[in-house]
Amino acid sequence: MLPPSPPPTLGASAPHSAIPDEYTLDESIWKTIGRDFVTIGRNLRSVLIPINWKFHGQAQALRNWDLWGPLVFMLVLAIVLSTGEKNASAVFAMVFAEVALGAIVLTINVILLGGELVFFQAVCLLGYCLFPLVVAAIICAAVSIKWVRILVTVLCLTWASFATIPFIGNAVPQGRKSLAVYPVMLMYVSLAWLAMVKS
Amino acid sequence: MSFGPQSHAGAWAPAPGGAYGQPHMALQFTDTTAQQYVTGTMGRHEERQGMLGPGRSDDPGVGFAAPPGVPGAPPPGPGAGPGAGAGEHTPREDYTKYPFYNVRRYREYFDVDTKDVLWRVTNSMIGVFRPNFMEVTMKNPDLYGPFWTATTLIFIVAVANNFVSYIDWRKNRGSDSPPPPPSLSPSPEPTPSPSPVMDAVGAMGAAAADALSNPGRLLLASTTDDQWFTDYTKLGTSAAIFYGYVFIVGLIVFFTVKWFKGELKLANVFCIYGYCLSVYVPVSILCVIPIAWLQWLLVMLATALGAGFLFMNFKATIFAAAPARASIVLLLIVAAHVALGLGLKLYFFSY
Repeated sequence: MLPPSPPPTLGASAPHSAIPDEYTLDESIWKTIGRDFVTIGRNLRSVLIPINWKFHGQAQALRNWDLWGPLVFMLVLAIVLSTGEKNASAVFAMVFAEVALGAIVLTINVILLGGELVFFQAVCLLGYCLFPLVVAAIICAAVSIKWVRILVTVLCLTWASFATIPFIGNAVPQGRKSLAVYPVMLMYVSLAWLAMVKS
Repeated sequence: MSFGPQSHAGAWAPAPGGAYGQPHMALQFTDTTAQQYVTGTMGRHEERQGMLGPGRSDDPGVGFAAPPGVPGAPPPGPGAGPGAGAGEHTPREDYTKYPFYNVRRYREYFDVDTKDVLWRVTNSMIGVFRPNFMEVTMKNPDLYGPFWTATTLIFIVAVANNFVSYIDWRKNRGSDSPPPPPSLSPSPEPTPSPSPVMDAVGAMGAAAADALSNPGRLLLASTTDDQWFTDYTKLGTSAAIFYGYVFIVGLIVFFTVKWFKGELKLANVFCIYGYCLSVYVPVSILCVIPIAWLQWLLVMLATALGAGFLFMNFKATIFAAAPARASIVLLLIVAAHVALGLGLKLYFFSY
């Protein structure tokens, strides 16, 4: 399994996983996968848990970014939203394309607006911030009471926005925060809408 | 990241010129990570200041493979990007040091603040009465507005479409049973199916039969069902129409003006065409109201505003370029916009 992380990952994660850096080559596959899961969990926590919600907290945590987490969340979201639909494959393709291309386009948008972001770090963050929406989609797929669905969707949308907006907003110059944040909200709101109206 | 005091085109009366540019110089980052960027940007800024002086070579075609970050790398030739037609303006900040494949090269076209964008959106709606959009954006056209306006329209049209079809579906279902909210349970109340075969088989069989039946039936069934991307082909069409209108019609107008040897930049054309779509954003939301004459009124009003905005802002340029044929060109521009409005009304906003 190819870890999609940059080399600093090993050094940074060593104190947590207690695996010597130089011996990762001949460890068992399960250990590698386990380490990836630990990374995903740690990144998820640092992105989404409302402790230390400063930009640098997130940025430091995401210094060892990974793309496994975003990939998993994108896939789960697309699968959840497409199950039970008449043309499930089309919906799957649509959702997956939206989240994958959306993360890339939003990052490019921030860079174009004059922000300085590490590209994959931002993609990673935007991917992890899909997690609340995944939760919302799963709950909305299971529960059919309307006000519960609306409440859950709004809550999860708020959670996702609070995790994303500081990061994106602080990356650009002062007068342009809303320009950078608006497209992010456009994507998240449309995804939340998808989750809410899903039958 | 940092734009000098000279960066502003002067659209905002209260704080023109240097006073406005000041916040950008003093970047107010509170975190540690961005600190290095601040110093780095300052360094680059000074480089730029130096470069803007005497020896800025404009040698196209040489520097395609110039490494990023080398100051003074000559700009790649025309055709390198969306703003390739924008040749002869003075850069406020030399983005051309980036090679054409670097995203940062195109920052020039995203050099706007929230206030600028809000002003442009507002002006595009009332452009008929205050046609100074072209003058203001002449120096600093942006592609942020056009791109995100079109994208917003695509999403909003899709959501509104879906919402209306959901309401319809609820209304249709409400007659025969108390409307249960949509659920994922394996045996949902199947929508009243026209064929007797469907009644015979169970819910699971219905799904399978649906999948196997011809696409026409599938479409028929899905119009009564609540689904998000019921008409996902419409989403593709709306993307093609909105992006295509800005891009293709903009290109045509640009080349027409160029053919008349007029002074116009491609980015300016895209900018105007993109912003003139912004009127349709509130209209496409309001068209959810199922009153036909109101929808027609709104769409036609928006179309008139947009066409007037285009007309007033292109008038000076085109009359300067080709006084003899200007009226024909302007008429064609307005006609194209009216055609867009009609198409939108008939295809999208009739929900």
